[in-house]
Amino acid sequence: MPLNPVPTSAAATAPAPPATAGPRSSFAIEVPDALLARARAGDRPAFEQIYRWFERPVFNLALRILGGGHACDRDEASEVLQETMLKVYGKLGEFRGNGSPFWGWLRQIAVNEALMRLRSQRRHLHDVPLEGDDLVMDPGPLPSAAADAAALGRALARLPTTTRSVLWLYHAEGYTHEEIAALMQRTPSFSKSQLARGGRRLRELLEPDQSGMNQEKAHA
Amino acid sequence: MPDRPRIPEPRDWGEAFAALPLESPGNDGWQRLTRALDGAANVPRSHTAARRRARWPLWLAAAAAVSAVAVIPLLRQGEAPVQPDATRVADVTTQAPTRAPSASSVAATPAATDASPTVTPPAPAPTTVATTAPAERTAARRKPVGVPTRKPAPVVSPLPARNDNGTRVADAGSTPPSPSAASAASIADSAVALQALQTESAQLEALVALARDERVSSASGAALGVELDERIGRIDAALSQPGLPDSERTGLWQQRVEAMRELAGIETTQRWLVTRGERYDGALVNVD
Repeated sequence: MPLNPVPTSAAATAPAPPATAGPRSSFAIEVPDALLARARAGDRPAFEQIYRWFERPVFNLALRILGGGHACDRDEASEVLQETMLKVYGKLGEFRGNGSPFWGWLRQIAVNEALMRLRSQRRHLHDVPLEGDDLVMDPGPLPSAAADAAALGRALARLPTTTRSVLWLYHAEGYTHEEIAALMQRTPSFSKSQLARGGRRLRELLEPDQSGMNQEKAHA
Repeated sequence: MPDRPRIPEPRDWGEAFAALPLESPGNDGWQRLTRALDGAANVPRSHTAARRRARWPLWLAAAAAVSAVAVIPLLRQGEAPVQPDATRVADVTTQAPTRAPSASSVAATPAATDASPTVTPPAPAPTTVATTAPAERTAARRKPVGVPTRKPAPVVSPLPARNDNGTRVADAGSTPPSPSAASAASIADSAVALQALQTESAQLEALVALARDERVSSASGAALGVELDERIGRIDAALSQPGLPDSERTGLWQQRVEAMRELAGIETTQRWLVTRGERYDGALVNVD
């Protein structure tokens, strides 16, 4: 049994995330040093506590990167969670911090694991990367449908894998274009291009009629 | 609509994404993890582990495929009239070192080791030896005698500049570049080399994307492709580690390019064999 069960939301019982200027990552949970030390020493309940805090952020990150539109994506995301936690457990002794938070280290392992899985399934090869695509960001306020969680989730699932991954890593997790480029073995301009295209595509998917009207206005 | 979860009007995508509800994994996640951590040999750890075990025999096919891919061009060269052609020799010499060191060096890289699961059955180790050994033997066989395996080191005089005449102008003219200038030059060189590696990697990746046909593949070719994909994934994971020294980063990119070359070679060879109606495998396998 967990020391402190998390019945509804990981963030609900975990320590509050620090206030940061960037996007608030669901991973941003400060883990006490004492708990880390216990987990490092092999205390299984301490590691279970860490697992309970981070299982949902890891699972959701994997789900967003892998797609989330199919039932098999949930199984894949569960495997990413499992592999991530195994690596975290095995490498806990290597984590030194040095000013970096534990959650950032854990998140890096999770992102790598999800991207490795994408690569092993060769999903990214079906995407057509267009270097040098125009970098015009989608302007104006978000479509009102962006506040509809189900619609937004569906629209995200319809994006190409790479585009969705870039969107999620940038907007939800706060990675920079340089960091995303390093993670995906691409260039920062590729990341910017994917972000711009993804934003426009997401807008179209959420408000197809509105985007059509805008195009008509632009042509008028 | 009251029955649909709506979130407060987000100002940007970041807010919209952050407001999405967190989905829950299955309830048995911790139990599965505990079983894996306990390492019970008779308890299936996960689908991934099961797939790894299932791939075991394919490793043997993969090793055979490495040999076949390396030997077939040589056999075909043997059929053609022998031409002591400099370009042909150059092809062999440039290809030979790319195979053997890549497999062994990736396995030996600490970063690559980091990328692999720490708590896993130690099954892959003997397979790595089994697959790299034929490749190394092939490379050794293909390497012509007398061809240096390393580029000669640049000749730099270790002696300090002489200061015979004592004039300041002469000193300035005869002294080598200052350490800071030399280091700046080396940094620039390494940046250029890194850029070249990244460009080649991207080109090879595009080539693989074009050549790859996932509908039909030979069993050994598919297995080898998957393993190379995983190797590249491990290298990518190592590359994404923060604070990586430049030298290590360049080395990893070199390994990535070598792995991509192997992958491109396999994929293009498979397509080439298919177009000629030939195959050197025992069976074809449908993928999905």
